Amino acid sequence: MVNSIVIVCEDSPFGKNSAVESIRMATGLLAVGDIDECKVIFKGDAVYFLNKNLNPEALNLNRFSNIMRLIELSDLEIYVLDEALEAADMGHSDLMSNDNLKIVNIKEISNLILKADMSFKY
Amino acid sequence: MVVFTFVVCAEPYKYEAVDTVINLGEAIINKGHQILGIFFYGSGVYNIKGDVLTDDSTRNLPDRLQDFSKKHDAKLAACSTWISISGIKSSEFIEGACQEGLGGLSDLIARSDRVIFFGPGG
Repeated sequence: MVNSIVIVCEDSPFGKNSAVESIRMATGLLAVGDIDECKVIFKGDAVYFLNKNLNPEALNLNRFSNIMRLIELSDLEIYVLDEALEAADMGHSDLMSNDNLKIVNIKEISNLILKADMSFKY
Repeated sequence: MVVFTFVVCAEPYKYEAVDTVINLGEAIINKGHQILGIFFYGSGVYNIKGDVLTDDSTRNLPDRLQDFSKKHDAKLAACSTWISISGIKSSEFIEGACQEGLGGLSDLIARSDRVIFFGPGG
């Protein structure tokens, strides 16, 4: 039976709702409690979503307050690809503050996916 | 016997995810396995809306999906949040389809040996 899930998100937080939905689905599945592990990997332009200075209002969009609150309140583990951060000219200090947020390399991401019963890209 | 669940996030016609779901589902069942259910998420919820108008050269996907579900006793459930966003009324659902929260998805995943995710496309 499927008991561990990895969700991969690599799209920009603007223009597509993948980042928000990845978090919503992961926190929702964890909250229900049927599944023991659900982790989210951010790579590509998705890493901008985790920038603490992200300002959706500059684009006349709503702030991601509710989804950020879900991250804070849940034990969701979020993994960020180091190469994607570098490509976005971001570092650890640019990321939102969260104990469950970890910067990892591609090998570690590969291991996360291999160990999970199920993985998919949203 | 292997128990499968499909998760469909792509809308019909623009993408051929639900065509693949039906064809793959038939092949899986012919091999003696089971399709526990199909969960529709994101724009994928449009797949359970019936009453589409198709001409002779266009396949009627809601009908095909409804027939598949009936024939193989496969559950059809759509994310209630996305149903609300889409404005689809329950009276417009194809026969046998229902709306459920992420608890419904969690239950299907936890009871399946394999989950195949048909992403949001694009």
